[in-house]
Parts: sequence; structure tokens; C-alpha cells
Amino acid sequence: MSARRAVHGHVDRIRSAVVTAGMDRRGSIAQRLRGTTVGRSIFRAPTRATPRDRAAGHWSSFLLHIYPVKMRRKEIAFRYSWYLGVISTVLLGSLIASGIYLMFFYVPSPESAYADIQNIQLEVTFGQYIRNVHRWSAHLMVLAVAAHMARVFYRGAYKAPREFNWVLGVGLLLLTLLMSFTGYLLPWDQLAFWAVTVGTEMAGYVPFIGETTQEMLLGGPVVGSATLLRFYVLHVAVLPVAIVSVLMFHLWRWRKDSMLDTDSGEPTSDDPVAGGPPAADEVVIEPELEEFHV
Amino acid sequence: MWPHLLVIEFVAALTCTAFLFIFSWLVNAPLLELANFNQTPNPSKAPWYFLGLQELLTMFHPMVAGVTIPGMGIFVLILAPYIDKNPSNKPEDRKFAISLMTVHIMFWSVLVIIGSFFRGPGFNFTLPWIDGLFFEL
Repeated sequence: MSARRAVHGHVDRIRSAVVTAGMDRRGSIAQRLRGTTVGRSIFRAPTRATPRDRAAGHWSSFLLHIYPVKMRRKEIAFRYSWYLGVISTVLLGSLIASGIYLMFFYVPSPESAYADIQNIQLEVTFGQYIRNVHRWSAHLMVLAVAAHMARVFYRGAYKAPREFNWVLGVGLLLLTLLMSFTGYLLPWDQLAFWAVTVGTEMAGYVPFIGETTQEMLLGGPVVGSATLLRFYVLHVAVLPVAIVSVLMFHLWRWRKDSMLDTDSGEPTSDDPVAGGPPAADEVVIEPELEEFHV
Repeated sequence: MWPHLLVIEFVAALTCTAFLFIFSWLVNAPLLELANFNQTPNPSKAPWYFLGLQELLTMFHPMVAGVTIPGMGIFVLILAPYIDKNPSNKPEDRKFAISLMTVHIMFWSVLVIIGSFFRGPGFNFTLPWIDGLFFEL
């Protein structure tokens, strides 16, 4: 047992020595580039010698601005989040990319919509493939967002000070459902037409505002050309802007809240080191954060 | 965050994209015949994530099934962090919260599964291994 521990310690020392050497060599080239006139104009914090410099680099980097400067190691382990938030975001990116491609070949009118989809599948380069990516990403995103919410709940990660980010997250779930539902109608086949007929009929059951909501969505008494146009505009303009805006807010809150010690002093059964002040190797970057709060 | 989180996110993104690309290469998105106002398919089903609601509508008055139950569900979900004042993250300290969420998730999952796979013509109860599937994604 002690021999094994000794070997492990030795391997760890070698590994850290290799990592340090690699960082130094990479650091020196990158550092020289950042030190040039052009480099200084791009990177506001050119030297990255101490953890404090690296934190300053994160604060001032546009590309890294949504990331927290500091996170606990256990928060980036797979078992903490199952990476469902990242996966949802990747799926949203895939949906935007494939959706833009499909928009080039689609006109939202009952006369042409179905033929456009057939054209996408048969004539357009990679059309069927891109349509598949869009469809399966959409279904997966509903699952991923719901699973992300369940994971956050079971982890207790919605607790103070992150309550409001949970509320934003519920908003994102509802927006995801609306995105998926409005997109459902666009192929204008039997599946789309009757699924949306059934779905909007359910909206009609809401008292007082139900029938008005249903008529606003449909643009008439039944699913027709007005409905197709409304769903299209919601699907490609209104809802994407809404979902991306709320998502940016959600990520910004994540950046801010990640740096707060939400559960120090609350050791969890799967994480015996979490109690008390974090150990030196527990935190990914350990800058003197107070120095950067303006 | 470099390299720890960014490398993890990059690998997660690549894995996710690879899965999508392979799946989309193997399975085509469905496209049925042109929409026809005069020909109602039997059964007519909403998209799968609304099938729980559609299932509820067969059991209760529309007011209860379409408004009260889902409305309460969303309302409680939004308020969850303000209702749950327990500061602990330990599962053993949160038995009530965890049970409640599990019941909530199971409730909707079971309804969606019944609506998807166990409802056939006329939205009557069927067994998928006897009568076949009445489900399109």
C-alpha cells in the first residue's frame, strides 16, 4: 500500500515536472508574441507569469469573457454536471448552423413548403443530411435541456446565490419547447399539420385567454397559410433572438456565480475535500480575486 | 480556464457533434405525404414532449389537465429555489426535495411514454408489441 502510494507520488512529481516544463516553453513563445506592439494592442495583460496575471488575462479577454476566472476542480468533473449544459449549447449551435443552411432553400407558404423540403432532400447538396442534423439536434436539445435541469436540481446547484439563474433556466426550457414546436409545422406534411393542430387545440383549453392565444398563433380558425408564416417568423427570428439573449444572461450569471463559494463548509458525501477553505490544488486558478473586483 | 475547462468543453462538443453526424448519416428525418386538411390521420398526436399533456387531457377535464396541472408544475419549478430554503447540498439532507423532483420527473416521463407508445387509433390504449407503433418523431 505504502509502496504503491510512493510510486504514485513519484509519477505525480514527474508529471507535474513535465507539465511545468511544457508550459514554460509554450509560455515563452506566447509571451514574446504578446509582448510585441501588436500583441500588446490585442492582449491587455501581456505577462502571464503569476496566477494573478493569468486571471487578469481572463478578465480582459473577449473570447474568454463568458468563462469564470476561477472554478473548483470538482465543478468541472464529469460527475458534477454530466456536461449537459455544454451539450445543450453545442446542440443550439448545431441547430443555428443547420437552420441557416435550410433557410436558403425554404419558402414558408403552403404552396411551396412541402415541395421545398422534397427539393432539399433530393436536389440540394447535403440537403437531406443537414435536415437530419437539424431534426435530431432539435429532439436531442429538448432532452438535453430537461436532463440539465434535473441534474442541476439533484446537485442542489440552484441554491443561493444561484436562484435567479435557475429561473432563467426554466425560461430557456420553455423557449426550447416553443422553438421545437414552431419548427414542427414547417415541413407542411401530414405529421406537421396534425401535430400542430392537436398542439394548438390544447392551448385553446386555457380559460379566458385560451381561444385568443390559439387564434393569435393560428392567424385564423384552423392551421393555414397565416399559421405557417407566423410559426416561421417565430421560429427563425423571434424565438432564436429570445433564446440566445436569455442564454447569454444565463452564462453571464454562471460566470459570476461560479466564483462564489457556494458550498464550502458543506462537504458532500462524494467529495470529502470540499469542507473548509479550498486546498491549494483544488482550485483551477487561484488568483487574489479581490484585487480584480473594481 | 485554459486548459482545464476549455479542453473538456472541446472534447464534449466534439463527441456530441460526432454522435449527431453519425446518427444523421444513418437515420433520415421523417417526411410524410403533403398536409391534407380533409384527411385526419388516426391517431393524431402532438409532438412527443406534449404527449404527456395530451394524455392528461384524456383523463381529466381540460381545465385541470391543460391548465391547472401543467401550470402548477411550471410555477413550482420556477419557485423551487425560493421554496427550498435548505442550504445543504447533501442528498441525505434533502430527502423531501429529491423525492418530490423524482416523482415530478417520473410523472411526466410515464405520461409521455404512454402517450407515445401505448396509444393507437382513436387514442385508445394499445400494446406496441401487439398492435405496432403509432409514433413519429
